[in-house]
Amino acid sequence: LTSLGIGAYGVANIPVVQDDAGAGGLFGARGRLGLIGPLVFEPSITYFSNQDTEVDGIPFEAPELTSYAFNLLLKWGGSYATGGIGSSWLEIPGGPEGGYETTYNFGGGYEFPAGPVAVDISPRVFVVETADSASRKNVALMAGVNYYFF
Amino acid sequence: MRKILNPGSGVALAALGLVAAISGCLTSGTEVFTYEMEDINVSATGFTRTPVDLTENDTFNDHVDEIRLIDRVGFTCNIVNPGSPTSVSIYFSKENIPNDADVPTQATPLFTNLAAPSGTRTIGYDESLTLIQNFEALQEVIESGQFVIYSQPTDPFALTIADPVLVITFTVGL
Repeated sequence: LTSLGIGAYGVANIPVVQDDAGAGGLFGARGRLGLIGPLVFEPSITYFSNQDTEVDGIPFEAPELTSYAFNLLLKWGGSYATGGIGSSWLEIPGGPEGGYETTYNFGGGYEFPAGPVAVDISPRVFVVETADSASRKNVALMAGVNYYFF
Repeated sequence: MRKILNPGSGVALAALGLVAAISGCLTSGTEVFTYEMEDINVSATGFTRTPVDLTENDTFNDHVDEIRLIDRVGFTCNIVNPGSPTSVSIYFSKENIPNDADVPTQATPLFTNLAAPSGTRTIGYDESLTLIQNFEALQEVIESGQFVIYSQPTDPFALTIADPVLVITFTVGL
């Protein structure tokens, strides 16, 4: 390992083309393990807080979404690109029983280091595969703090 | 000679794999549409049949060949019962079942023995989600676009299911 850190993050979640879910917050936790060269491995858990919404005056309770992801980061300087795969718990009120769905995510970010601490800003897209060729997509605007042990 | 893949190439390959994996499902969206039906006058004797043709709805019709998932199904209505308290059962099937005696065994219950007190009982969308049985079978008939609803009161009293509206959430190709 070239580095080892932990972090927490939050801010905003924007469902994309989902009539039955409104934008809300998110929060999560992650680890950062430096591998070789510019590669960093990042396991994480993210809770998406979709908001209830209304369509034609009909109230819709928002889907519940918790995503577990394993990402690779390619870093250069403070910047990084990232992509990962994982699984999300998705429960749609009034829909089929909740279950785990394969989830992909990709995005980028920037770390502002200050000693062992770094402020981390990262927009990402989460793609939760709900059926063959079907998904629910959420844009995650993540900002948080990482602490590096070394 | 052993060739070592540099980390940058490895990430690029992984990124390509990721794009390939998700490209099929990126072009989908989840939409809601409502289908308003005529009042259903439930006969005191036998099942009342109501054909449903979702292709009459523009949103459904626009995506009928690109339906990938029926996410949730609910309804709203008013059950108007001018007589004594009773209950009502509703079944559905893809094809019409002409013989009343076959309906309970060949059709699928949407809900059974729903209380219909004297007067009007309003069922909102959230409550309907708790009433619906056999969601998977309902997904199938909705995806097909056309099906038949059978309604019958438990007791021999006529009642009306007024202003019935189906509320359907589906994920479709864009």
